[in-house]
Amino acid sequence: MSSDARVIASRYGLGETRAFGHDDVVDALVIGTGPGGAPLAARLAAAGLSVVMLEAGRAWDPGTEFATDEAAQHGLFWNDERISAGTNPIAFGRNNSGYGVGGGSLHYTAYVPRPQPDDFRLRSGTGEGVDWPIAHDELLPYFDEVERTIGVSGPSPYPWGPPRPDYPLPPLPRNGAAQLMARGCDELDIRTASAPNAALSVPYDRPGIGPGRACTNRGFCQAGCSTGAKGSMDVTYIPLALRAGAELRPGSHATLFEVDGRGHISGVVYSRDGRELRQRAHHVFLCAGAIETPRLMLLNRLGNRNDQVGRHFMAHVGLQLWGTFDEDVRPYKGIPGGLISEDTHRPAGANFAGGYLVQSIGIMPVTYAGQLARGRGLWGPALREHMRRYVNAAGINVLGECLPSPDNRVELSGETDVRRLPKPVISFDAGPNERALAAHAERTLRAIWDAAGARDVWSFPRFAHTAGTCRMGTDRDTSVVDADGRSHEVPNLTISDNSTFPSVLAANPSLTIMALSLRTADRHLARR
Amino acid sequence: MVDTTTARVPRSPYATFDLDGLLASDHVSAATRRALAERRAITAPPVPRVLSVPQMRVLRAVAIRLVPQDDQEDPVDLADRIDARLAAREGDGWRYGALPPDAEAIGTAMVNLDQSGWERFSAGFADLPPERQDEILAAMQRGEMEGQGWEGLSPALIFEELLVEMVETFYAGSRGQRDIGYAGMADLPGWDHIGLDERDLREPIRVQIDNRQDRTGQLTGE
Repeated sequence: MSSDARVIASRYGLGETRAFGHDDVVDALVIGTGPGGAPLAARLAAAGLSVVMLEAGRAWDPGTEFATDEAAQHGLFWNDERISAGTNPIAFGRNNSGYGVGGGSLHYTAYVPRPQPDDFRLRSGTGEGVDWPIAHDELLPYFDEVERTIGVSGPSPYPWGPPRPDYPLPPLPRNGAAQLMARGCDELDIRTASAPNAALSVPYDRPGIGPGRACTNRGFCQAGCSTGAKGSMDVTYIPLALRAGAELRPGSHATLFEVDGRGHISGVVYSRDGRELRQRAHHVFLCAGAIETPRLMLLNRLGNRNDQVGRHFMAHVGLQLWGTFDEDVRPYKGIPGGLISEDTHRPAGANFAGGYLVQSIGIMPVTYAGQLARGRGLWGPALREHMRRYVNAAGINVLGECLPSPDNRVELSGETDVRRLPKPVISFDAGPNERALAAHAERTLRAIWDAAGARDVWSFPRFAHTAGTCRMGTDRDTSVVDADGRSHEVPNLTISDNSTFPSVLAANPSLTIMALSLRTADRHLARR
Repeated sequence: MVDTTTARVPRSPYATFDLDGLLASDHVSAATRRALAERRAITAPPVPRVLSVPQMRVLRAVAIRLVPQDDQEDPVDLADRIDARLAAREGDGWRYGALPPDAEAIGTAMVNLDQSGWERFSAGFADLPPERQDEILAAMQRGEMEGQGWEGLSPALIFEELLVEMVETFYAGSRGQRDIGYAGMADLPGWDHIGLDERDLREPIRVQIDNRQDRTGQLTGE
């Protein structure tokens, strides 16, 4: 075993892990270890394939290295500068992409509602957007499997959508914001339920992985879970992959794809500790997320003869509403997204396509202060005094549909980063549908917060999550990959992450990314 | 350091919160304690690293207006933290496409603010009375700045970025966290009381302060 392999083995509590040579032509080279890459790597390795995982960030040891301190956890985010353009510039960093083994799952809130069947048939149902080339039914067994593997706590029965098996664990306890949202919604006859969250409400033996501790309500999911209760990839699918014989290479930033005369990728160049290394592979799985995946494709002029790479960038309408309450909320405690309502999934009489879910949200003080400054423009003594009501602050949030537009896109800028590679520019203009949905959502949230007794209410318009920049489709002219994630142009390249989403779904993306990742692996294996 | 004729920050209702005691307790992990202690120990070098001395003087004056700390015995040097970040070439993962890179945007904005001080009130920004500084900053926030220096440099967006960074820096530290009664860092072994109006015993309570009568505050339990 190499010294690197020993470090990884010890970090994940394993006796031994495999290590491949750079001249070995591995069966699968997986770039990115977030929800797109990790489940797939585990599945392929379990089937006996030789698998190497490249991760740009490091392998954190959450138990000893994760501080309950927002600024100290800054390194969990993808902090290479992205340039946000358009009329609705998207905030990155703290949002959207992770840095480290586990990728974005290191800082996802663990909120894992399933998308609804009609989310996959937006075009058929509303005349807008596009349909997925995959039916909702096809993903059901994968949703079941992911929920059991990572350990999802949720209400059984679940009030919305088709009948589904019980969640493996009972719901997590409700914090102040969840109680307030329930109070407001009860007043208005809006149905609510404890939200499905990938955090263990009771100790749970993750199948094939081992026992996990129950969540301690530390509320810090968005800046790293130090207890292992949250089902992030580094404590679930990564150990599964390593046990099945995959090799993990942290600190390895992929930059170049070498293409042979037949148009196949023959090797991937990556930088590690300032050195340039190259790994040969039969098949490459690009799982770097909806910004870095198209960026790598564009940098390497790969799979883009139809000029579709980077286009159709989408982000959820993610409007938040904040208010101050008479009661103490202490919004830093408990699972942040404790409550859900999907009653607005397809609102009656709406003047827009699609819909949204509503969730209660917790928040840490630095994030809250930053949003207060950005959203309300408060400064001076007014800001200092408002912050002294942080303990009484509670928020609710929507996640809503965003229609694809070819002009919302990721491109390369003329500026270069520390690796001397062009920075990505992300242009995003919210269209009429997004604006109408956001206005509807704000009315709904204001009614709920008024009914719950909020004062000093303010909205924070935002767009969150990223999707759609290498979308899947059956039409080779308007998509980048097929339903199995395979590039239309490069025979041995498959994409597995949120970039393949044809529509953004009215649900948080991670569960679907993981389910698709497993399906993509199974489709790959079926073809061998 | 701040003119007493302008609005001051009243005393915190969490004036009795013993954050240092809490940080020393078993409720705080070693990693968390280390992070807060390191941040608190930072001191500014005599000469700024990236910004010029005159630019730094304006930035310090801006910081006092945006995040006043006249109630703090040992205020955080927010301008220094920005200069340190620029020197380390660190960022938060994105920037507005309408702005140039951070060091250029901030440096130029400080030069422009100084220029606005001379044009409007015949003195450099840092030497103006607080009311005049606030007037200029409010115009900057509204995007109403004139002069060639602002071409290709949205005043409102730079204002927003500076404000967010200063505010986040202040509340990332123990001074800001004590001020708002935040005990979230003391999360060991876990939180038992997470509902409305529920409190774990180690979390602080608010006390009523009469700021009108006495700046030292009359403390009474709520």
